[in-house]
Amino acid sequence: MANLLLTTRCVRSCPYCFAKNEMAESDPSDILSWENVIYVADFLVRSNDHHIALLGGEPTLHPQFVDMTLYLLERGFHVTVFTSGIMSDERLEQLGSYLSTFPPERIQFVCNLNNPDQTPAPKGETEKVFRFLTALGPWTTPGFNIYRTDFSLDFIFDYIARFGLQGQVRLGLSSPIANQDNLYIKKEDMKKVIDRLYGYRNRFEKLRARPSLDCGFPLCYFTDEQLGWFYRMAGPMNFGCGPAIDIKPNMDVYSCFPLSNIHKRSLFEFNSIQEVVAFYLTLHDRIRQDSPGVFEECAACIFRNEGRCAGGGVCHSIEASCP
Amino acid sequence: MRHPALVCPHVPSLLEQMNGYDIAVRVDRLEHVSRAAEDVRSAGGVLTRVILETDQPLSTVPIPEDWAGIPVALFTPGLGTYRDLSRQIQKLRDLKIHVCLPAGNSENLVSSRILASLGVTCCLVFDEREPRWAALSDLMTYAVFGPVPHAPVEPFHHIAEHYSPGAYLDWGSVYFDDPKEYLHLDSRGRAALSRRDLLSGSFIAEHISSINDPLENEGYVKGLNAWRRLFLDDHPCILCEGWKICLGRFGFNGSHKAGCSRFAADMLSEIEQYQSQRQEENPEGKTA
Amino acid sequence: MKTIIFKATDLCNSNCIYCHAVRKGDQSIKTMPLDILEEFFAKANAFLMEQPEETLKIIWHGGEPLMLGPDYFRRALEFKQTHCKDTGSRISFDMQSNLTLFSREYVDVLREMGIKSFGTSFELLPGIRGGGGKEGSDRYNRQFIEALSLLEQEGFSWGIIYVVTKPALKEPLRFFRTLANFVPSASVMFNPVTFYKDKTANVAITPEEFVDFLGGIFPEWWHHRDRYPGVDPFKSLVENILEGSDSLICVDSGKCADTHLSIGPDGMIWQCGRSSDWGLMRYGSIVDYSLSDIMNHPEKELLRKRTALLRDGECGACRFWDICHGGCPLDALAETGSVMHKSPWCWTKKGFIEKYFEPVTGIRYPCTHGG
Repeated sequence: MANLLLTTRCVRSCPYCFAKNEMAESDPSDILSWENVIYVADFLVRSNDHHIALLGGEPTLHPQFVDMTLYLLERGFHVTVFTSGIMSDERLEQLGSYLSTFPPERIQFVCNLNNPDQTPAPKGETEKVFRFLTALGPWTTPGFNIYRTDFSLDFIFDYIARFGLQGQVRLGLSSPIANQDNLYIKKEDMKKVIDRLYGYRNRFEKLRARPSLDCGFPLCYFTDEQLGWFYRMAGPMNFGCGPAIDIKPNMDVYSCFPLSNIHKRSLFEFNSIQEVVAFYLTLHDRIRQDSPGVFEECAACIFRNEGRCAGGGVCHSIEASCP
Repeated sequence: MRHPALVCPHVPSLLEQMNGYDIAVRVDRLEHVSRAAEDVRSAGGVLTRVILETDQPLSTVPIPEDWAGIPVALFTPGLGTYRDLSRQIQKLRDLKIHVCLPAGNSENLVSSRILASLGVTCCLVFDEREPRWAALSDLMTYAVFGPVPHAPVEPFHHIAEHYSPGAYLDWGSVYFDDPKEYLHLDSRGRAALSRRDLLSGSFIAEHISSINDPLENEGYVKGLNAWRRLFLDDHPCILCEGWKICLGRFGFNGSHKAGCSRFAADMLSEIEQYQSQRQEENPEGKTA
Repeated sequence: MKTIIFKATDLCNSNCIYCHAVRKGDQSIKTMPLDILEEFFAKANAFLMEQPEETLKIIWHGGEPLMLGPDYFRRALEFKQTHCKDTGSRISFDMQSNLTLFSREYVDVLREMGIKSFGTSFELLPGIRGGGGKEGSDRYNRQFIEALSLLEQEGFSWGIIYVVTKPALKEPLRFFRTLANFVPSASVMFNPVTFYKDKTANVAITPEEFVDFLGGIFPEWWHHRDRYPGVDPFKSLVENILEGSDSLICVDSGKCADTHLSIGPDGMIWQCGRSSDWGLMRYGSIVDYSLSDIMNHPEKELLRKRTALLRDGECGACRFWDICHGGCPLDALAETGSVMHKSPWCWTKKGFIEKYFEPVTGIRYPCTHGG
């Protein structure tokens, strides 16, 4: 699945934002054109890939967000939209009118939620998120980015119950951006994060909500008991690392946000998404030759060598290798 | 020669005189489409197309189900919003409606690509407004080389399929503007070579019944070869690299436009490349 | 195959600046009388009876052949049918015409004669073709274009011979593009204007100028040769050089003695159209001689010897011999007073290949790959 950025503009300024680099560099007028939407759709169809994620910035800021999403649905794609849920009433109404006619199997929203107490939002933002969740709860999976060790998930469980969200919580580990400052979980704190997450197991179980771990979690920091619980709740876990393919509105392509300012290429240089993935896999392998994982022990780790753990995200490897 | 099809207004008394002719009937109201088709058929004409001209954007045209089996060319100023159109895409596709859009509006270049990629045939109509040549060129490349199957974008599809180095190519027929293929009648049955001639009152016959063999009509013969007169005028178009597939369509009436020549030359090159690739892939010209 | 340039009339409705046929001065017979026309077909039959493998291609030329009127062609067909009962299938007709007189009246008879294609000319420059001056050229071109329309409707094809004159030298590409755009099949041949003695100073060109004219076109043609497949001399040259074709036009073939004849309105037989126009190499009247006699005329023998003489002499060291053969003997005669020399125009082939063809294509003649 490729991630397509509809616009690099965003409505929020999250302290952990791993897309910050892309957002800062971008021209505010840098929004996806119809020609490029069609190009990407053709590119993915040709690659026999029928799943696309729409990202931003905030993708719903694109003036033709609804139109383009409908277009991709008409082309037969399963569409996942990553949104803050913060949008104008008019846009929300469009989403409700046009997109909610499709079943959640065709279109799904991942709403990246911030804890209102720990990451205070400007006035009115939370109400907007609520309005979004009210309108599109059944199509929405809550997402949460962990950037501090004392994070709290309680509000998410409340939202799931209150808005009828999908029973899955997408949990991201905030990552360092190469050569940039942002708040993220340092490697020495990862164990604490995992333990804290595990501490919410009763709440997950009560709601039958599945924890879905994003990339970057190292396998060795989980106890067998924790692994067993995660497996029981959400099935097999993936401790690999991408490459997630992000496509900018101008058709620049890179392998996930934290690596956006290195090894950027153009989608026009490739013939299929498989070619893009192969290119970045090779690149990641080269990076990992110098810095095999987050920890020194990663170099000799049997799980890493067997490919069951990537040794944390490659973004951490770059960060570790930086002076 | 085969008699050209007749583009007629929807006037039942006129259509009744058209027994045996190929007929494209022109209507200006949505609700007249089915009736016009029925009138042509019941008068013994062979319906080639119902031409509906509307001022409404496509997204606001409520396409009825009863157009099934009627070949419709829908001339509309634009797509409107995609979100409103999206509910009609399936119908446009199923009913095989040809959507004709003015090329002078840049938005329509994008709209054509959207429609074609969704399997809806569309046709760019070149009017007095100069198109954005670079965007048009981009669309032409998509139409000819788009790697994923899509519906035709006319006139590019027609040109790519019919161009031959040993002949000129007039693609006006894709929108009923080629006297070899279409003559235009007014409600009295007077015949003109084109829609433009019809509107300006320039007729070649007082009634179509007087034209048995068009080649015996002086006005018709002159009209067929109007483009050749550009050579007498030493018109800039006659030097153009893309002439063979343009015949002055972009630069007629002395209004030669700066970008058209580059565009036509690029188009010719791409079409040659397309045909050469096709020949390599299918040297015996086998069709699927 | 023998090609007979059949100049049944010297009359013409045009007055092209470079035309010799209309400047021959007073001649008692301007149009071939029917008895001579009939005599020709009788002689043609006798020749073909003697030569069962031979064919005759009769190119109606002039003057302007359409000045003859459709009835004249009907009579020609009748004579052919009368005299060539068993040999008629070995006689074919072509026509070189300015077409301005073409009308529906000609369609049936020309079709019956088996004519499918016309050689013709077109000129954008004023004062070169037509009745003289810009007005004359415009009128001529209008008539020409109207005739083309009719020709195409009736299913005939046509190609252009463009005679390159001095005023055209400045813009070779302009003429190439215009003509390639003008002719649907892109069947265009560029020939240099040639004169005998009277070199009309303002239109005559030199071989060097002709080579540079072709060189101004060739890179574009080479790049787009699939788009303009029928442009000569390039197409034929490529066929000769790359495909090993041995098909050569009369001036380059070294065999014109065996392949060409011309007959004038008075029944006089000449070596070729040009010799007839220039008043050179006259072989005698069709009334007095058989075609076999003519083919064995001593001057024909001289031409045959010319080829061997040049190959072993003046042209011996020339690597272009196989595609040139010393050029047109009449040009040699005009320039040196004898046909036994190479033509000054033969340099155009050598000059063009060395200066333009080889550098542009990167192909050196002769090719070593065996064509």
